[in-house]
Amino acid sequence: MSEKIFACLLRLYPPCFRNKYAEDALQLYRDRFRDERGLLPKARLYFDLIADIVAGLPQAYRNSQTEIKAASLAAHSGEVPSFRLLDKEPLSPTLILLGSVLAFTVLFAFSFVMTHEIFSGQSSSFSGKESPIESVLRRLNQPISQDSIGASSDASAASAAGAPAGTRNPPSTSVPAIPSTPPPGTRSDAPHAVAVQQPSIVASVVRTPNPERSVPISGQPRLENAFSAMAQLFQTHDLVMFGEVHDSEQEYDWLCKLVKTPGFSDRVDEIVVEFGNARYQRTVDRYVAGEDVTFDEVQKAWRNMVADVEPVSPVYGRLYRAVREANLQRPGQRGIRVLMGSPSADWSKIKTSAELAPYEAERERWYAQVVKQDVLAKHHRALLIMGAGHFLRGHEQALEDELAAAQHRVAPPVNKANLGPGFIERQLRAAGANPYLVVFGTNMIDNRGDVDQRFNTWPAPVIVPLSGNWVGALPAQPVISGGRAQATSLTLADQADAMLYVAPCSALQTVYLSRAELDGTAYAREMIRRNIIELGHPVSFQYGNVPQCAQAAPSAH
Amino acid sequence: MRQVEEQTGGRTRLGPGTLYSSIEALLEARLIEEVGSPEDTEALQERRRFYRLTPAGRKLARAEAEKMADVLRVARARKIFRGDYV
Repeated sequence: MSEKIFACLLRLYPPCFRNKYAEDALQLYRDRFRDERGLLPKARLYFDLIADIVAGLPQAYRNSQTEIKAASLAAHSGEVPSFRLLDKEPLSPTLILLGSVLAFTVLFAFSFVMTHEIFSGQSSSFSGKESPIESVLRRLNQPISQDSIGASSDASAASAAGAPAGTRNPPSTSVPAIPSTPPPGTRSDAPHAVAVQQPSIVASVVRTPNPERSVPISGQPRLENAFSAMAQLFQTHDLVMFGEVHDSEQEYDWLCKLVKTPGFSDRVDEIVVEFGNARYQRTVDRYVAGEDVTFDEVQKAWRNMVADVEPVSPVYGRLYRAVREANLQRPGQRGIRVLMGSPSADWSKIKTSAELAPYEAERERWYAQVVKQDVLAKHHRALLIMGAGHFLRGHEQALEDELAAAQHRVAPPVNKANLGPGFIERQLRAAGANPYLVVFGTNMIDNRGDVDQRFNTWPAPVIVPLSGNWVGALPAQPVISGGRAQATSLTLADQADAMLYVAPCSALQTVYLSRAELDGTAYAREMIRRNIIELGHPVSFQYGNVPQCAQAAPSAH
Repeated sequence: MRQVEEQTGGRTRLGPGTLYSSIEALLEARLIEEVGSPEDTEALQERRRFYRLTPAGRKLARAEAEKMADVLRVARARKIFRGDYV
């Protein structure tokens, strides 16, 4: 090792060490180099020098750490302020650079943490995440009476939704009063087809201006590919509640594609459906597992569900078939199971409305129980599909608004602090679940046929988180129902976490069985019998495809 | 360096970095202090540095030596050493 190399190695030592000892160290090196002759001693010298650098550098740097000496300005330095002087090691450019880099790194990390999303089960943002700042703001704005509301409104909520209020209230056999216009996506006791096809009763709901709405929300929504977004939701949520609009062809086309999306089928264990009678769970299990079960056999599951007063749309069978195909595409892997969320009723034994009523009253409680037993207890993840009316938050308030409109009276002011989750969501949250609510939505913003042009540029299908943007500020009922339900004081953000948008209203179709599939069949006769049991009279069937959204009605205003 | 090597029978070999780092640490701890060179032309020519123990250094060295002597005594009592050390 030449002297030059050793001199270079000495530069690894701190400056104060070099200034003081470099010459001496070089001298020592020269002495040893001169004294130790021969190949072996020279080799040992090189080895020693390398080992010396490895061992000596840390010690040298420890020694060079700036010694802080107190140079007190007063005799009693402990009692009065004093200056401290940096001794020996002035701040070198390297140290300043290092400090700057470190400071910027810390600043960047702090900024990243404060703005980056973190998981929060209570978040209303799309992915269930929120930044610490958002978390603090949400808590500051959070109503303090949620629990008390939940306790007091359980009974009314369950009653309004046709379900019992937990274990404290036994299932009622009386059919609850429902406003004239059923909520979107709710299979009510009134004929669904009639309710959907008839425009809502139009009456102005006059309200005290709500301070929360006095400032328009203009934040831009975050549009996410609906397939990947739905799959990602299961990274942070064990349950995703999808509030469907019944019989929508485009909505179910999307669902059928979704179940075949690898990111979804890899993460989701079950799909819990409203349109499935629990009596047929084993048949459905065999069918979706790819076993030899005929379609005629398995379709009893949705055709015999409780509380359907019209022939069931073929879109539901398509979803069952899509799940079966998705499972068959993944041989040897865990398949998606379809769980029946409708009570186990035997229609062949139901002859009167009194015999049907207990099943009707049990619908939401049954659904929640299925999720708790077959999903949450197994620590699974599930997509829950049910009519949006069963899932929407604050839906009791929306029903009250509609009732007031129907009765041509002024609705009382809304206290949005009192808006809470529906019966099913409350049950699931109480069981420890962390659900996220997505509802189907359209671009129709009122029941006059007006659409919001801002939707035109959306790359559908998309899922849009509703918090803090203009989409969330839209009136919930018209958007969800495609203009068939009247606006209330509730916005989309009030009632859900996110919205699925698959196509503009002009392209959306509601699908019914065709005349060839229905007329003169045993199923049609059975449906007429059920209509009479439920309603006292038969209901006219709808056939084929019809526009899903309300048509423009210029005479309305 | 040579002296250390000789005293330890070659088991401890100090390099320049280790040596001066150790000296610096002892200086900062005020266990040794640098003294002026003696009236020795040869030493001046070799630009040697001279250090001596401070009272604190001497006290600490004595304490350390006594501690090691105690350990050595115990080791001998328990017949841990063999050969020359027994």
